[in-house]
Amino acid sequence: MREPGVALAGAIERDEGGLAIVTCPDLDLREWLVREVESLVPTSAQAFRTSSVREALDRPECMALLIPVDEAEVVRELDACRDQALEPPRTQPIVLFLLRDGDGHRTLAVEAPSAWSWASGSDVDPEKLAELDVESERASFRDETGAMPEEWLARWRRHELPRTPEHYARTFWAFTLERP
Amino acid sequence: MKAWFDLYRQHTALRRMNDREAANEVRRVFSHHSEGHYALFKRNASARLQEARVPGTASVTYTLTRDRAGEALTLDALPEPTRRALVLKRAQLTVLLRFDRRREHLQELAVMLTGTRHDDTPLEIAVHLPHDIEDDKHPTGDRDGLGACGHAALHCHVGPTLDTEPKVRVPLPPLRPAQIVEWVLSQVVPTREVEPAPWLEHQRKS
Repeated sequence: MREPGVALAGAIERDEGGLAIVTCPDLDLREWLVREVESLVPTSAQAFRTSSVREALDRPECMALLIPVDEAEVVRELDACRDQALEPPRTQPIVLFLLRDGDGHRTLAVEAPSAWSWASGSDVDPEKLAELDVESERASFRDETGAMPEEWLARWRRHELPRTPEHYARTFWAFTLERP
Repeated sequence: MKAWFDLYRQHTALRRMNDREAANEVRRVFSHHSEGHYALFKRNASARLQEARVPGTASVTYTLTRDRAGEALTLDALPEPTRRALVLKRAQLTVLLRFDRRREHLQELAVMLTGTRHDDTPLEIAVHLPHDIEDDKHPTGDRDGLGACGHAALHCHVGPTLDTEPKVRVPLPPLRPAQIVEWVLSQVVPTREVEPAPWLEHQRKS
């Protein structure tokens, strides 16, 4: 599993003054992802929310959290004005929030080659990354501890394992991976 | 007796929270403490609070670092006057949060700091809110321990190890995860820069 928080921070930081794309499963989660980005970025980034490409371009020294009303239109606008982001050079990126399988992604793929290359791999879907592959995690747990999560928990409940922070962390993970 | 039951009820009420909101609050604490001169963590610590979701269930966890081992505080990098105030030469912070996303319910919390004093003796500070498992046998929670006083739900252990007797269990007021992280940090870096609620601020507000 890739680390969703690290991937998100990496996408934002990859290109100083670049374009990062954060993919959101739905509108409700978009709001939460915007807040997550706000909680991740340093105060010096002076992050601000906007739905306007013009406003995002006009403040190159601030991180623009671009939350489109019309995704396709915003992507087309970004595609048309990439050059304007070069002069004066931006010192903070534009972070564009797009819905998974939405109009923005469709437009990006077929109509906006310039915006797509501008983002150049700085796209991330943190919600997807957060999904665990339980079977592979259970196998890793067994490799690390020599026990399946259920066996580990049984030993923990019988107080056979010392209460160390390391064991607390393992037990916490065993609870997560335990079969219902 | 009533005060202890009231505390248990407050701890139960505390569990009602949105996981994303709680995680973002914790991230803001890490962001604050990984910037500037008095940074306690390497940069981008907030990004290392990792969300993990079990597909097809409402279970979601947040852990500091992917391997849940936590993160070392960058005590050596603090400026000299601050370093003089430190009681530990090494410290590692672990954060483990588990939620039921559908119920907006904090099931379990562990914020633990493992440290080494200057004389090389160990110190553990561990704040726990154990899972109060609700099932058919225990519809209002299985309430570990003998009672609400000796076994307060949100509590802290402090000692050389977590197994050292007596295993003192200090009850804590109903603090959200971010506030607990702030509290733990303020115990080991007792300086103005780390104090989350300075008296000066309080005087200004009152």
